[in-house]
Amino acid sequence: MVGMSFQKKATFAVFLFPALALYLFFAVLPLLQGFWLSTTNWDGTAPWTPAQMPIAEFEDRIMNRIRSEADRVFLLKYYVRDEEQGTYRKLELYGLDRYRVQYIIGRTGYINPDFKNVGFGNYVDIFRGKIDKRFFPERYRESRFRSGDPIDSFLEISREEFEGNLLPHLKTPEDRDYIQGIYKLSGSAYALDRERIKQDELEIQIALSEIAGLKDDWEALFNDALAIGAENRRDALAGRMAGIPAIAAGTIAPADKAIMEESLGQAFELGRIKGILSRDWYLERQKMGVLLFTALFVVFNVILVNVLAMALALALDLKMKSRNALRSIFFIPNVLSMIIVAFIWQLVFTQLLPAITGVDQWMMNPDLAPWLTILVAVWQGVGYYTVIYLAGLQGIPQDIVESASIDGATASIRFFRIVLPLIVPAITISLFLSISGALKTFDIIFALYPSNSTSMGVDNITVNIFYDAFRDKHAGLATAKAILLLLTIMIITGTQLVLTKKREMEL
Amino acid sequence: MFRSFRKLSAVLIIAVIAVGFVAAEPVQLTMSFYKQEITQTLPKLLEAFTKANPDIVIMTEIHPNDGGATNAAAAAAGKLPDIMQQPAYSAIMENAKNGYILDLSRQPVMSKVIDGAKPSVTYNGKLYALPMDFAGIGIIYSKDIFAKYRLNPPTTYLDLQKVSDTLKKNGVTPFAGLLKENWSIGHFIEMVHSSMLGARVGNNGIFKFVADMNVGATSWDKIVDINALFKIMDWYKANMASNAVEMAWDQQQAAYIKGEAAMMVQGLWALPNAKDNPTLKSGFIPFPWSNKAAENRFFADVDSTFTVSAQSSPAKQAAALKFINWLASPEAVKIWTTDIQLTSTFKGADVSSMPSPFVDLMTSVNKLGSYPWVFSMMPTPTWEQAVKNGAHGYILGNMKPSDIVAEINSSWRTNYKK
Amino acid sequence: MSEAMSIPVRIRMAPKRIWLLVMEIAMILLAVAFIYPAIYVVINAFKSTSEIQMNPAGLPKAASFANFLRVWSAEGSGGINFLHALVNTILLTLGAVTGVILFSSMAAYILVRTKSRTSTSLYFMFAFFLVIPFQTIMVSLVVLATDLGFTNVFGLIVMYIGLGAPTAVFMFHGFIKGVPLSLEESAAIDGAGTFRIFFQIVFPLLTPITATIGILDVLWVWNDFLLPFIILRKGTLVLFQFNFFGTFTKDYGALTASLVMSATPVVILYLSLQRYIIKGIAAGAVKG
Repeated sequence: MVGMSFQKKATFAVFLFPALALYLFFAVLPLLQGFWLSTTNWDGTAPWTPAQMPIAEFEDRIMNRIRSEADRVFLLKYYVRDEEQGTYRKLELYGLDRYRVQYIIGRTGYINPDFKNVGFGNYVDIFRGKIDKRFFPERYRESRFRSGDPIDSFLEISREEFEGNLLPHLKTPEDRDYIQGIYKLSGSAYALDRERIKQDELEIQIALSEIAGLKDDWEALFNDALAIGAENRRDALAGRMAGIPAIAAGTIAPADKAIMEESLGQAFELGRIKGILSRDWYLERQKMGVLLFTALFVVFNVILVNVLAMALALALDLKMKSRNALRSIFFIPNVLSMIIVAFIWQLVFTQLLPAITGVDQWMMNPDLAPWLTILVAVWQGVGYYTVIYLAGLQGIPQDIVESASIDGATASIRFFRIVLPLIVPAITISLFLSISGALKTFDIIFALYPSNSTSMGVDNITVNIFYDAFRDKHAGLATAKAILLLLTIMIITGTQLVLTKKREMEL
Repeated sequence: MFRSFRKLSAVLIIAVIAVGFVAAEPVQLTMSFYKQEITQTLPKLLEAFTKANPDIVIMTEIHPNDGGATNAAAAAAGKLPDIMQQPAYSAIMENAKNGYILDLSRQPVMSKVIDGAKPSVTYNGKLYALPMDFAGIGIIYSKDIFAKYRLNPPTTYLDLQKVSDTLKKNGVTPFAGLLKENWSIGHFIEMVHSSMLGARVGNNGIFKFVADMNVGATSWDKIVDINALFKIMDWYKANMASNAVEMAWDQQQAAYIKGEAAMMVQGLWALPNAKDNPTLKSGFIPFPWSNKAAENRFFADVDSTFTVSAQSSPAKQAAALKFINWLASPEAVKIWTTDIQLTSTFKGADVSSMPSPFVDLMTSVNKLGSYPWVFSMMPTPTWEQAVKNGAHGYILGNMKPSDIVAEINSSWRTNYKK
Repeated sequence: MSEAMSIPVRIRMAPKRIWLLVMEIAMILLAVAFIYPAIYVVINAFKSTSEIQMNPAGLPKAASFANFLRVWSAEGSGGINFLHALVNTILLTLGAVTGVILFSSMAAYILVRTKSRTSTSLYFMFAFFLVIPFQTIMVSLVVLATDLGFTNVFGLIVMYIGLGAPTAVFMFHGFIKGVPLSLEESAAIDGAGTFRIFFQIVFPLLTPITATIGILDVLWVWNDFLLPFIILRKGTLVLFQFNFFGTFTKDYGALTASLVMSATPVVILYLSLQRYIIKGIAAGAVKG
């Protein structure tokens, strides 16, 4: 800039100013403010300057500590004294005036407990794992049987379930003998011995509730019998029965007493088996958590998109008559908004597939859900990368390939030795875009699983940050996570670029 | 005389024009609301108000019920609507704490509100909102199906199990499911939990429980039998269609209207539109979780309220307060119950002209009482994340009760701000 | 080698031609399968809701436009109907993309033609933003936008210009470097000022990259979800679609029709300009 005339400098400024100003204002400034926000404990809702404060307190803590009269007058423009409410309340305030008000109030030494600086506290919390458990992977046991499930759910247990998820988990030899005694193999499933477990909970309860002498005690008696059965303490059952006032007083008819004993015996058995099944019939699973799911999503997304796009590009590079039409078709999903893409697939998963395949659960199947998001994302993105690879392929001189095929080189040698090295620039750019794109994906997941992505375990890092800020009210923490995401993207894509550029140089 | 007559008429004309000019400046207020179901009927209320007060015009906008995120963004910008419809308890308390809404304790309209509704809008001893409707969550059941199989509405848990058993044996799904989203199962778990609390320690005990949870002095699984709670959840899920997890609100409605399912656990906002099935007669009962009939009361509480922004100019504030005070007028109450079809929390409000499920609700509440909406009293992030996603995760099989309880405890304690 | 060459050409080519035909048929089938979900939605938009549930996979018995009319006249959430959303989106996109192209080309030009440390560092400052995830600036943008009163379409246009400038400056910069100085020098000798030189001589030469950036940015702004969502909540076509799915959850006829209607403008745009789009992406990729 040294030695430039004033006019040249002016032209420089004028040409540069609009883009630079808007960029600084709407990209750089929010980024810097983002850094700053990530060092606060702001929850996203609390006001930065008091919205309302009792008159006496306001005058004492703020008005009386303002030195300049001009400042005081300015403040009173926005803080109106409301006698009926007994407070000073802040009117609509935004724009530059807001910052001036913030400055004036800051100078009085007022500290806002909901918006104070915590330094790197948020980052420390993230690294020490003191944030939402769902962020990290976790092993858990998916129970195959829950205490409230009906008897139908364990009348028959399939062979794989029984031998895979029940038998190995039984703890004591007693339990093992018991289970193997009560379940008999018939065909491809194990059937419950209905001679020993005759009634389900409802039938037992009905029988007990109809016994006149038991009145209101039947429910407690029933639940106790279940619990005693779960602990397998048969002796305790007799004691519990004896303790009932009606029994002790002898006011229960013998017939009724027999029904009661039979029913409670059944309850005991039911309690025993239910206890074992709810404790020992499970499947060990792994919850991915936000971190692992994001990693899974990115890895598979990037690999699938690039491999498929490369394959499509090779195919579409051939001199087929319908080549242009085909290229258009594969590109169309990329032209659609991610929201539209997600809704299209939502209709497919909830209407079309159940009708065709008879399988109802697609999107709400926790095993399938992560893969569905990857599928939809790949469907949307592959066209774009195909175009990039096509451009790369078109840069390869045809004679090299032709002479190689005349020389007798097979298709795969032609591909790996000649084509692939020559399109490394296309691979570079494609990897760069697909990796950073995959890490930044938000729309697809948010639209496929609106409001239930968290409980389905398909929150990736961007969705998690969004919910942190707007649902869980941790704006400061959310921004800290976003800054860490930024660093991650920079590191990963930076490394990738360096590696592939080195490759490019070598070739 | 002629000249003075001309002068007089000139003055009169000028006066009329001047008055017209001043009067022609109506105050324009903005009002936000979250109950989507009243989008078409709310204007009737506002038109009636403008008729009575021609100098005030109210424009509306929907703010979704997203835990206050939209309101927070508007508040931060200083652009809060002058009047806001907000759910009771926490939403109001959080706004009151931040200073975004006015203290309405001294407004004349407050004396016309039934006392039972006042705790839901109280913060630090002051009333920060006007309670408007009282809603309940319970079982909406098809009277037709019940009559067909000669069933009586169940009053105990055993009865409920018997009813479901009969329905299943006749090929009818007991409950229409809505397990795709997380809010319905969140309502369910809170309904049973709050009812269990109330049955044990009374409604006053519930308020003490909430106060203890705020400071981490108790745990969500204390006082209630947590195993029984989750057992009821299991039973509830087992009595829905096998694909209930894939069903969203529209499928739940369709199943109920078509008669495939006999019951739904919902609020009356889910009552099927008369035009979807004009002949379907529905009843409304509390969910009978207990075998002692007297313990089965409606899970009902103040649902929506109106608040006034503290950021409005004095003129707009005065106009907004006029509207608030007008809401207790007989005309307003009539439109609220007949056209908008919500119950009213004003003293002496007449609900007899409302559809019979509403009458069922109010009759039961007046006779037996109700259990308060604890989910409204906890910090909003706890309800939105820890409870809703906890319950949903349990149903989906990936969360266990001890983890859910731990998350609720820590989220409640951390997010509570005095 | 000479033996291979002596085999008649026709026989050598014959297997290749059959193989090519097989390949083409396979690709056509693949393309149909690939695009089927979209076809499925389009077909179903012509069926009534009950027919969709009875017969999801088949053709409509009696095609009707009833669904489309319903969407057209529906008052979407927040009182924004389809037409309103469409107009908003067109204004938003035109304004944003014009602004991006105009200002970024100017900035890139002057940065390239001014050889100094300042301009190099400014260029890197622009380029740096390519990797920023939106979430980093999400919360601050909301605060900033409401501060400035920019929570409307106009404000959104200004924001998009600011957010789109980095990529555009990066791409313009690379392209302008390849434009020979000679034309500009001779114009300068003839007495033309920088403005005249840029707008009359250089800018027309930038058409290829302008087309690329224009199309990429049109697709970006038209289809963007998160920024309009947190700033406006409603008003663009994508938000209309999102809110529509929230309100009309059971009306599958209306849902499919709304998808078709929301996708049509951009598909038409693509089909008419696809040659430029594809050339543009290819050029942009190679340059990158």
